[in-house]
Amino acid sequence: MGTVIMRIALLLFWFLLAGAGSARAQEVRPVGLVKSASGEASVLREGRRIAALPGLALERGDLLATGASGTLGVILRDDTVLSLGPNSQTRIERFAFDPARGEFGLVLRVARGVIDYLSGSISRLAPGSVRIETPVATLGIRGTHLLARIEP
Amino acid sequence: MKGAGCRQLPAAWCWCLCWLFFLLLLSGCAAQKSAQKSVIVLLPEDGKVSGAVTVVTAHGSKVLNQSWQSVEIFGARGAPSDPVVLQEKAVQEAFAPVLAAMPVPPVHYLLYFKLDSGELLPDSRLLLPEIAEVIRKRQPAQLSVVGHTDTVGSMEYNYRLGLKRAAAVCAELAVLGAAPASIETSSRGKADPQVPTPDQFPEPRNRRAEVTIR
Repeated sequence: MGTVIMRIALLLFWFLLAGAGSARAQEVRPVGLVKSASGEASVLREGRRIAALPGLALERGDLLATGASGTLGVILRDDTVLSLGPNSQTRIERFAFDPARGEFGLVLRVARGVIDYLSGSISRLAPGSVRIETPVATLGIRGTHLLARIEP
Repeated sequence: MKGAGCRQLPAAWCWCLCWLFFLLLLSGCAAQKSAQKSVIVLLPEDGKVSGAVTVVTAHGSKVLNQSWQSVEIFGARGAPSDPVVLQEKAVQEAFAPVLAAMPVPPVHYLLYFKLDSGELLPDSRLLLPEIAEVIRKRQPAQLSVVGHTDTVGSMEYNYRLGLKRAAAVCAELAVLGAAPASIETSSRGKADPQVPTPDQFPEPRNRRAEVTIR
């Protein structure tokens, strides 16, 4: 009886450990990096504003924002290349790129402004899993390069 | 007769008309302000379009599948216009700042290894100085190396062999003075062969590392 309880406890312990491990791995793994920035360019993360300097690691949920004279260029971990023009806001709403588990997906939310988007591996490996959401329209993307100016 | 009638209108009526005119002007401005124009343009990659964009709004959808093809949407709840092909020069002028901010796309290399080893084949070793140079020129650069193996041996063994290969590439690049801002190594073991083979099959083209410089 004692050994059964021990085994269950051990199993639970391992589950918790594995859960914590994977959650941590997901949290810290950057989804991309800032390659270039000019003028007012920042990243809003959990209520904090971080200056978007080249080399800054990006996380899922980050809001990329530029001011009247700002631009921002980033590369995501699946080789998606993005840039923002002045007065623009784009959030990395969803980013899943795990070839080992077959998990792919990218959702960018453009609140306003200008974006240049060049698709990467997610779009190639899982066509239909990439979307750009805006207040005026949703863009379904199949492996391509586009420009959008969104003025809601 | 009419002119005389107008002149005889009571002052209160004149004020009323003035206000009405003012309100009309205001609402006109508001309507114009809410009718902002959004634009979506499809660009070629290496001279041709390789995909498509479906633009979906509450009032209809349109598909873009040609170079420089574009739709416009007026206001927050407009329907997309019929697609038109724009002049390349006009697009480049209208979107100059965002186009200038676009980073150079990532660069990829495939390096091959000796059987069951983290040692590079001579031809692949010759590419290392070029890779180190690309990293130097692209600062801040992110280096990602994914190791792969052929299907000889167990999953576990090949996973470790893949990691060994990825680490070997990073070590050799460090010796050449490459200092990327961040490095990511991983292994797919025998799970993702370049050339599909049966299990336990010695295939040189699968003994490789994929190098990406972002």
